[in-house]
Amino acid sequence: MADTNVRRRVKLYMLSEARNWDDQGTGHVSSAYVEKFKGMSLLVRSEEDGSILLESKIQALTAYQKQQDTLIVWSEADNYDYALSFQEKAGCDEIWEKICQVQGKDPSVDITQDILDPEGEDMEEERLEELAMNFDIPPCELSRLEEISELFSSCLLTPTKRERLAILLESENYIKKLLELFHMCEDLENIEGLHHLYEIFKNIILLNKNSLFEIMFADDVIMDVIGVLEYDPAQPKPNRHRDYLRTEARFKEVIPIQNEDLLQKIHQTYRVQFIQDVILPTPSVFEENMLSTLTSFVFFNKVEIVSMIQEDEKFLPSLFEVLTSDETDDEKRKDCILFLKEFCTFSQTLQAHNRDAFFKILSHMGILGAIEIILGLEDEQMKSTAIDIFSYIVEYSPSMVREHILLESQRQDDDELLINLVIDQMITDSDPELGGAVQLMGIIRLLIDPENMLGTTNKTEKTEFLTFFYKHSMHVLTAPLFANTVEDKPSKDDYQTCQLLALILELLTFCIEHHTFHIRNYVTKKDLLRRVLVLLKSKHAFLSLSALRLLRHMVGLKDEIYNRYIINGDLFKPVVDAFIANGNRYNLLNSALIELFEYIRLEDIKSLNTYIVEMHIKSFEHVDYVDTFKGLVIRYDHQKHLAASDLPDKPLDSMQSLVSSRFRKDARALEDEEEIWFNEDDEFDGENIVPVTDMLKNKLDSGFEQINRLIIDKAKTTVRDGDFRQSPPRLINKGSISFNISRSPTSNSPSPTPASSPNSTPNNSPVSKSPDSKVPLPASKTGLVGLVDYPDEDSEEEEEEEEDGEFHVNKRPRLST
Amino acid sequence: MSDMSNLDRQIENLRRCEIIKESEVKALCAKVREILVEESNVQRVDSPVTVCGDIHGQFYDLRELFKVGGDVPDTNYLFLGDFVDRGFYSVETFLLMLALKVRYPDRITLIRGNHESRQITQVYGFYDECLRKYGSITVWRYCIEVFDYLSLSAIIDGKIFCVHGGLSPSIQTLDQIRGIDRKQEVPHDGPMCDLLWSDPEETQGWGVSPRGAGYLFGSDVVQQFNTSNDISLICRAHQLVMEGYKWHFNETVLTVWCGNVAAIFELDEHLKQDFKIFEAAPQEQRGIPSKKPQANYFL
Repeated sequence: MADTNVRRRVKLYMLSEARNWDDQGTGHVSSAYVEKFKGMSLLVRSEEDGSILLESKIQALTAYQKQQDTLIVWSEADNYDYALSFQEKAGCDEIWEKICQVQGKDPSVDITQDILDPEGEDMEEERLEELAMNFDIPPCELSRLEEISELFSSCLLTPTKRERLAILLESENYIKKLLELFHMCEDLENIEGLHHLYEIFKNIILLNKNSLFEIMFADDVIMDVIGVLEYDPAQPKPNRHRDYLRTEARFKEVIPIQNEDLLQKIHQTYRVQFIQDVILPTPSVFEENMLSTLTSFVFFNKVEIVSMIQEDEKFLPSLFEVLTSDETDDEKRKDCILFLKEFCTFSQTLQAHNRDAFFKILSHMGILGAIEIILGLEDEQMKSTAIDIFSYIVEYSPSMVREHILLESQRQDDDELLINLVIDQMITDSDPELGGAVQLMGIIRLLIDPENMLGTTNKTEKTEFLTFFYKHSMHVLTAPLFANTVEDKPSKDDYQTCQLLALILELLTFCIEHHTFHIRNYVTKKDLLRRVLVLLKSKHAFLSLSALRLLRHMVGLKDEIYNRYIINGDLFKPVVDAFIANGNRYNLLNSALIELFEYIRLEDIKSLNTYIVEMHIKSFEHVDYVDTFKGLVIRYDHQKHLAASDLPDKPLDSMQSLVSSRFRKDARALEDEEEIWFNEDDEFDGENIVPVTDMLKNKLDSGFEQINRLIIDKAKTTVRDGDFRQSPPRLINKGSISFNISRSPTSNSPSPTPASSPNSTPNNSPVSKSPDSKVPLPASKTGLVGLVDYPDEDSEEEEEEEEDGEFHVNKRPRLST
Repeated sequence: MSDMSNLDRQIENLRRCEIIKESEVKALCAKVREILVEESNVQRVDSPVTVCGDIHGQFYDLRELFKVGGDVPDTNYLFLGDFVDRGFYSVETFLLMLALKVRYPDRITLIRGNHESRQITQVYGFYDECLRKYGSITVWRYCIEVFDYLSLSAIIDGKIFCVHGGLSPSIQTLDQIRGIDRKQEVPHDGPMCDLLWSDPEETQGWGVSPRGAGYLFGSDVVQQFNTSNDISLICRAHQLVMEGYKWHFNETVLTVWCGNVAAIFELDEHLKQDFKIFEAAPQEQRGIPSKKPQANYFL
């Protein structure tokens, strides 16, 4: 869901009278059937207030143009020119495909219609259209079936003929007459006639007209239509669809439905879906486009069913009563939960506001409590169904679920908490393939993702929930890891255990990336990394790689607290052992290990560099296929040399650690909670944690450490009280001096290299000595991508620039004093 | 033993363009991962070998290809990625390749293309196809996990460098490719991205790629790369070429493609080159996949 949000993020432009593209706002685009237009339309909903910025029917003949992969441009009838500028190419492609679908075009085109010369060709077109409209259908008689069939298939190709045919079919009650012929043919076993009828009805369906669907899918007609569709000429024997529907497919009514209309809708929907999914051949991309109306027919039926059920005052309350009552027997309960899942699946297709109402009602009915009850039972099928429902709810609103969890934590034991039941379900998944566990891992990740926690309006959700999670649930999640890593190699190393551990590592890696201080506290207190790295010895490479990945993410944070933890515990020992054990093999593990060391070298993480060289370099002496380890030694020697030539009484890396300990590339890490961490954390108070702005860090360069150290030493005395936010002038002062340093040619990069891709900036990486001056700098590349301006991104950049600007302005007067 | 006959049966099914069970896919993917995890970022391949470009789910073209080029294991194959998306039979195509890889690991080499990606497959069809054919995205999940294990490039007899897209400004030597942790989604930039996305261009130096990822690389870049790595040819796919194959830069770069007109590039044990060109398979009668509705319904 989050992906779609990013993909579908667009800016809407309209061409002004002055021929300028005016920004109409930013929002999310979707395509949907809009009743008042009677057709598929483009909708842009503002991301600010949810208002509709654009509602535009995709007309059959409008020329839509796709430009530069992320722009869609078109004109509307009254000389309005619009442009949608997408954040991502993928989103643009999606919407483009929808447009092409409606117009029946191949999405590989860049323009959907030829822009015609408005005069001459239009006239020509009109004359052709008149000609095309001028036909009639033969009388509905057995002897003319072949003729009828041929006419219908010839009509399909031209839009005007299709229109005409649809009108004729409707007005002359032709479909009913055809079905009478069908009964006749079936009685007479006239196979040829039946084959023609099959073709005729297939083509009527392909006309893709809602009015015709209404006729064909009426309660008293639909079974006959299905009957016709049994006689596919491509099949040697007719299919027994009607038999199937009458005998095999059983409608289950968990709670009796009183409303006749609702019942009828349910049956109709099932049958139409049956036609769509089972009877009609798997559509090619082209045919799929042609059945868009059939799809929306089913869609609107579902919307109606959901709302009719919701409006029924008795239905849902009695369902939940049966579902949660102790009295209910297992079979009945199973039916209830299966019903609920189908109900939720139906709701997936609803539009946003309908889904809101849907989940609100379910929540009101106590759906989460019901899931909890089911998860406490022993029935695997019910449990997995409950998990499916739970996953719908979490995807819809993780906040709603978190709120429930926090509430119940006030009155329940830990092991009865919904989140712990879910974790437990993941850990004990009995399926050897761990299909359920994988799904549950995804659910848990959504629940603990700070990105979807309400950040602005309700600042407390993140703090509150994460504090809760680390106190009440983290130990449940990590239990299998701790149990399996008591000794220096995994006590259980079977495939299933390893798969589960890999899932747990994936979650922990996610925590390290996104939870900053909570997880850091947990890791250092529990010595978690040591346990994780035991898994490097697993015989399953995928698990070793997961363990290594966790370490790599930790190193990627460049957090000196982590680095010290690693150094003090000699935690690269198992890594080096793994490297040695892998021997001369050039495989994935070898590459991943080299990447880790190369990252430390490229990013110049001094504490780790020193540690590796001093403790472990011997193990790498034989490595001649990459320069990584030689490079680490060179860096180390260089540092030592500098240290020797300067104040010898202070170890070098302590200074660097001061600088980088508070540095994060991730802006969201520097939030208010950081302060809480400062106040709460007493484990590292001997570490001289001095916060320095990112800005300062960026300007620092390894070649000028002595100067920096002086600065920071000075800063230390002044900023040590911990409340760095109250001392901006000093920070600026410090920064101003190191700014001069940054003028040195070695550090002219304005932004820190993204930690995740060490080699991503070719001009930064020492291995790539720009082979040609035309090497595009990363800046020029992003410049290309940034055709779209997004207010958020922009404002961030601008803020940075402003900061930068202020920085320059402020520093001069101060320097002169 | 029964494992092997099971696998042979699966290969037979897949060769008939029939999908195999979800549980079989799971086991197959786990096995192929075990093999791929031991392969290197520049996988060594010995001649004689036949090199093939993008297949894109065109199962019947693949079948034609095996007819023209010889079957696995009789012929040694190197596929340059883009197995999935666009065609109707990405599932069958990719699974057949995986099954052949497990069965004959030394006779077929698979490297990663830019379409072997979570993001791309969600837009260009593989995701939807898995969902349609298996009713859930589980099979897609298994497959994308395999994507992350696929090698990034190959080198034939130390002389011919094979990659899906092309060169990267961050890579001057083959050893530099060694330090890429390839087990990840294809990134949006950086050397791994470039290898899978770049294109040759009649120019000098490096240029911005209109694709929004990777670079355009010119003849001087190729010359320098080939000289410093002592290779004679870069063989790649990634772009449609009408004739099935296309030489660039005085025969130092070769594009091969399997499209309407498909070419495969055959190298004998002395690296003598030969092309086999064939027409795409005729529009075959599509088999109707078995579709089962749920027997009970509540709604």
